[in-house]
Amino acid sequence: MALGFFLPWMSYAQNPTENIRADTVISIKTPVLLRPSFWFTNKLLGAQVGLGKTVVLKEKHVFKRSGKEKTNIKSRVLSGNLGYYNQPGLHQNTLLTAEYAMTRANCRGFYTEFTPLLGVSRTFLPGTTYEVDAAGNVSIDRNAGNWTLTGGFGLGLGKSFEDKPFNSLKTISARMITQVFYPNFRFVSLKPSFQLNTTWELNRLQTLVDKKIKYRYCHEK
Amino acid sequence: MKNKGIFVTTLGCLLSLLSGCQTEEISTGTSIQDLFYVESQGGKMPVLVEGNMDSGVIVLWVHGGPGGTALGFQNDEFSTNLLEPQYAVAYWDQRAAGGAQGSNTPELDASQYIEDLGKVITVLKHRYGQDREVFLLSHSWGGLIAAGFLTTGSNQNQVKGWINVAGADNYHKNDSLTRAYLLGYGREQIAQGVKVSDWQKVVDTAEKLVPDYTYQTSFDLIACADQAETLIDDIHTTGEGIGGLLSPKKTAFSFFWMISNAGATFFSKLNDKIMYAEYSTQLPHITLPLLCITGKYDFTVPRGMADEVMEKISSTTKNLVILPHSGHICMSNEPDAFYAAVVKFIGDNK
Repeated sequence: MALGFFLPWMSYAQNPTENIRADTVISIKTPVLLRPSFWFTNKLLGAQVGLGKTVVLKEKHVFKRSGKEKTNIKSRVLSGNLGYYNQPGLHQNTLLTAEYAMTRANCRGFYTEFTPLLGVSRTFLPGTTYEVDAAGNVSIDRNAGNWTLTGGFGLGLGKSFEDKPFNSLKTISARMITQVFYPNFRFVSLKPSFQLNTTWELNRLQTLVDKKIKYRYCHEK
Repeated sequence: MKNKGIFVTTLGCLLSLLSGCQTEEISTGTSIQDLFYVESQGGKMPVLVEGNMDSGVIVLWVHGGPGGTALGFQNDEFSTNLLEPQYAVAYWDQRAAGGAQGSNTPELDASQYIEDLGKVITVLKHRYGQDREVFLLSHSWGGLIAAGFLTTGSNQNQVKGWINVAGADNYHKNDSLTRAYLLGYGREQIAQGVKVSDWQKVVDTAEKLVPDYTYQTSFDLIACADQAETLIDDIHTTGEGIGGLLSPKKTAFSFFWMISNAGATFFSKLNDKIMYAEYSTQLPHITLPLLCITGKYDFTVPRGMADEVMEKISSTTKNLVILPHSGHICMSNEPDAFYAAVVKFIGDNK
């Protein structure tokens, strides 16, 4: 029992130069990512499509004294998105946003995600919109709506596929997005919603990214 | 080049689809449901019209707040079942309230709300016919807007009657009445041994909130008034109340947008500006038929406000209804008696 516990650690100690690997940075090609999403609340329905590029990729391997290896993969994906949703009775909205998805995955491919986003939105009102001039004449504004800045953040959970189940599907995730629109009557308006996202690799379009690999060894008891 | 053409065509189709929603659809009948918007000074305000348009009468809700919602709050089961079968009801969400939207708007000011009300009436008549008879049904802060509108120029000619429910047409006087009612009623309850410790807290708080009133003291008095209402078992509670705002059945209503708009109002300078707003001195200009409704236990806008309107207005037709089991939200406390009084008043004066 005791020997079994010490054996892996003894192998490092006996020949450390063979077993301890140094941190490295390698330049790898990663495909451009196509990111279609389905957007919903109990009243809102919409869709979004984005093109993303992996800008940061970090892999951290932690070797424990027991011989177990723990791997964390961090990635940062910058995407440009075009979205549309319809909330009956409130507005239809087209949005152009940039988002920076920060994910942290374990060795089994499950990941958590935090995504700040920023962009512009143009709403269209769902009913006839009337304007009344000073003389009391009524006219219809056929493109009534508002341009606003939009920002916010999303929190999500997902699964990344190493052996892709079909075609080039890379991830499936669900996230809650709290979107902020500014200005609305000189203040902000909030809109929480849910997104179901998928990420597909466009293998014909490749970009380079530096992949940083770190190795850490636990010496503590 | 070809791709560019496809992109432009797609974008054009998308925009025409979106703007295609702006077609004017005007309903007639005894059970209509129309949603449209009125744009004024950058604010786009939803108006939901439901009910019996064949009656020739439109009852226009001027909701409370500021920052409340007619689409979310006033458009409840009672209005739907007790008022809409008789008359058409227009639920208007004011600027920075409910489902109103506006990205390029000036600072909030009471004068804008009054101007907006005029535009909403103009649009209602434009859509449904100049011969439609419009009755204002204002509540609380809506009473200030209605009074401001009706006492300006010849505006009162655009409407047929005014139903003033717990209307606060003089904020400063209202604060004095609230304080006096809280102290008087609270001390009475303490003397009778009713919920003594709770009433003592109300009285102690009210005693500290002395003139000259500020926005903060006014705010605290309203909080105290709300607290007092919770101590009175004689107030009837019916319907879904505030919880109804979460109902998915609400038409054209977004809870989070309403909350955001309430924030826009709360954090604006509007509440400071309206601290000394009053139309009491101008009330004699009004000659319209008037119905004042107030709850016996309304500490927020006490009965004294209704008494003042009844006394000062020049109308020959004026009635005061005091609902005996109601607080500030009397249309929800005693909906049957409330809407019966409203329907009767309109029937007598249309």
